[in-house]
Amino acid sequence: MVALITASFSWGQDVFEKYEYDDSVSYFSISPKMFQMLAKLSIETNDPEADKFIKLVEEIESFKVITTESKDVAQEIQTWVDKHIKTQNLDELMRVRDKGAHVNFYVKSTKNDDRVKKLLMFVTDINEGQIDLGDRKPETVLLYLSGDIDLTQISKLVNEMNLPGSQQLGKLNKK
Amino acid sequence: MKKLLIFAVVVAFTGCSKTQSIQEYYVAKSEDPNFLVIDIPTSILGINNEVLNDEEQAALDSFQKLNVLMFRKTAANAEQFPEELKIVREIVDGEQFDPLMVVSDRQFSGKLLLEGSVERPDEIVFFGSATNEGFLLARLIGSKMQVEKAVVLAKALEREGALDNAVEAIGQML
Repeated sequence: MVALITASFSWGQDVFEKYEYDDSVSYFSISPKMFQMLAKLSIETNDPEADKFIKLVEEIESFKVITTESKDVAQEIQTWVDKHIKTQNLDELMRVRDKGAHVNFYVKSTKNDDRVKKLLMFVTDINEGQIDLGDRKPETVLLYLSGDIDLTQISKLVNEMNLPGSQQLGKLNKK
Repeated sequence: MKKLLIFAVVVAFTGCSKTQSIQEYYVAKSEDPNFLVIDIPTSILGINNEVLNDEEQAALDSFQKLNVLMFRKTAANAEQFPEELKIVREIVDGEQFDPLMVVSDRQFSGKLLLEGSVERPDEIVFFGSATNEGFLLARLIGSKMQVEKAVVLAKALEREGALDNAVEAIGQML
């Protein structure tokens, strides 16, 4: 069964869009055009923390998150991630275990250590007993960011979403 | 390479099937009793031309109207729902529009789309659907809309009490 799914899964197809209308999947995405439009609105605040956050957002080109409670879909996401890492030559940034969940970070590096072109955060084996997510029992969370991303700032964004692994990513700041 | 692939897909799709345009869909459904179709011109805001400065006026003029189409799911039309949903999804996911934002969570899905350039779009569309409720399609139509002036315009509209005018006018329409 799994082999069949894997075989029918066409190469390079975007796993996010494939499941966008699937009830077993939660999906959120902001396209490059939306980020361009937000930048045009040139929102101004007097709060330096908020300004930093806006600057961070302006550096992002594309943002996608998908989570699922279905084991079959989780398996497909895993397959897509494995393939994507190979075809896009992503490097493993780190691998952590937080509250029973496995969190893997992959990046498309640049010459600057603090900046990456892509960041892929993949959370599996989520242990519901240790992480309170209300009535949700996600199998997998996949977060995908592209742009000119400052790793030292991105942990704040991940923190906002209350996902496991954000604290470990935050520790990158202190190296 | 990716752009080439998208281009090929678009050509393949336009070559073999002609999807109904969003405008054709609105027109077709305005006679269907299961749909509620409302056309709201910006004049509903009741703004006197003299109270806006040139910048505000130009921004307001670039927006023309809001078209809303609603399908409210009932026991009687439940069978029609999946068909209509499929048609609308094909339209909004078609080549006419570029997605800005997508949110999808279990039974609910919402999508913000744009037609035209990011700097000067001609149309911004919201499409929201809920498995048990129905769906809503809202089109903000204009001509090279000055989106970056949205904040300036919103302030002007607030100053002139435009929202109250609009609420009153829509109330009378319904």
